[in-house]
Amino acid sequence: MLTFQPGSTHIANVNLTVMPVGIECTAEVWLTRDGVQTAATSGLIAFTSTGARQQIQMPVVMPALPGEYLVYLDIASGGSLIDAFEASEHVTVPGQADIRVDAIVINPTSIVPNGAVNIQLQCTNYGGSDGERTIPIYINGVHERDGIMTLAAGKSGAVNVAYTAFDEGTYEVTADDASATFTCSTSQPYKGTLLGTVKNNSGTGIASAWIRATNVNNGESWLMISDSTGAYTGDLTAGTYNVYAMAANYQDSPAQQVTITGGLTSTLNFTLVSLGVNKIKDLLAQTLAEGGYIYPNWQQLNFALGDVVVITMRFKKGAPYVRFGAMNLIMPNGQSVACLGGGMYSPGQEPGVYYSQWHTKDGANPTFLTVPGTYLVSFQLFSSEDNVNWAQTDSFNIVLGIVS
Amino acid sequence: MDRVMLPGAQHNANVSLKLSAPGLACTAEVFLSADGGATKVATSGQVAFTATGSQQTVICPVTMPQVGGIFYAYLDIAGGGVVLDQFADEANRILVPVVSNVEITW
Repeated sequence: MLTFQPGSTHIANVNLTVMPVGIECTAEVWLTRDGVQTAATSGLIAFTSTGARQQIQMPVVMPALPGEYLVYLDIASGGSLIDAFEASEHVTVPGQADIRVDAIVINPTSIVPNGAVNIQLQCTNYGGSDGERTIPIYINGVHERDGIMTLAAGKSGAVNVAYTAFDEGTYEVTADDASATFTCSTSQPYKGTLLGTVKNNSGTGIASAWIRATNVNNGESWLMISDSTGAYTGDLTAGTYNVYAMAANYQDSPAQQVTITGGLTSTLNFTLVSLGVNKIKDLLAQTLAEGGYIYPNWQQLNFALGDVVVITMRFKKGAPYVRFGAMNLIMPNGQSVACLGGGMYSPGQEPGVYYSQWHTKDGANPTFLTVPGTYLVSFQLFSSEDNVNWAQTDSFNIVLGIVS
Repeated sequence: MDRVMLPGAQHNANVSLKLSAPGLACTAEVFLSADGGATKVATSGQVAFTATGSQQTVICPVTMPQVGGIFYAYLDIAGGGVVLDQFADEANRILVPVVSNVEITW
């Protein structure tokens, strides 16, 4: 199947033999959809028969009307038709791009003065060729904006255009034969509620997750924090938002889009995927004042390359000021690396149970568990009576686990 | 003068003659040949007519051959089963064109 653009010129190379030699002939290549009506023609091209195979070049300007065309060849002499042929290969002329607006979607449909709406033109290219069109957008009959739409033949798509309304009233948006309206009023409820949950893969709510919503039109950003059950809620200005959730030790969620309508509630739930394999171990320790360290529930674990192990150190504080100075990870080759976490834990004079958390990584390295083998962790404990003079009061090593 | 006639097309050869034997039953045959009359590639067949003794026209329809070529027209006049005369129109060629091996590429 040959495809030629409308209005383009192409040469039909006609090879034929006309016997006998020396006959004054004409050839005409013509295109037709019905075998009768001529849609395009080379006109009559004169030639003299050579009695042998010869070639005649016939330029044809393709018709403007799209469609599939039969190709005919007429050979005549002295005004009489000698013979007629139909080419085995047809010619297809695609239509021009014809991008039209099917519908207009406005979001939100209610705003306050100086608020922005997103005008989405939903379009289809009904033509036979790819193309681009600048679509005029009229607001209350006035050409206010343009939407530039590029579409392949037969495809649909949308283009978004922002518009800010300053005055109260009803605004009618039109493009082609499509239209939609929105209202602008100070009395409109212009906030809606967004609520939902943030959970992990097991369905457990994640506390203290951050949920960030960003208005796609004006960049306005809202931050919500989940409660102990993973639930969150917030009142947002009406509009369309990209929303995502994040929490410590979890991958950020993909952004989801939600439309907040004044006076209404929208729901958006998130499920977060754990960062690698976080294995949390509760390591119990006591200060010297309490008679040494114990970690009865520590068990050597097996980890995979790339894991991040989070160790929560729970300890009883006897001295007024206590801190874990460092947690060092001792790698299979004996190299010692300082891990992220810990710090000073001397929140007061009162003895009690306190926590310190450590990660097998630092700010630059996502994990230290990079080679197979046995890893150790080394803790150093410091105590002080006056928060000025510190002394290392103890240290201990444990086998973290085997990495394979 | 060359005449181009299409293969398979029928043309009338208008034979104008004067036979000075009024009432004689005659036949006329127009045929085409490319080899001096030895081979007839197309013929009108024998068209019967009666001599009037004055100038008269005999119409001899001939269907052009399907094979292309350059031909000459010949005329045989017979009467009573005897060929009275033969004529050859070798000044005028009949060209019968034939198109073959047609291919169209773009």
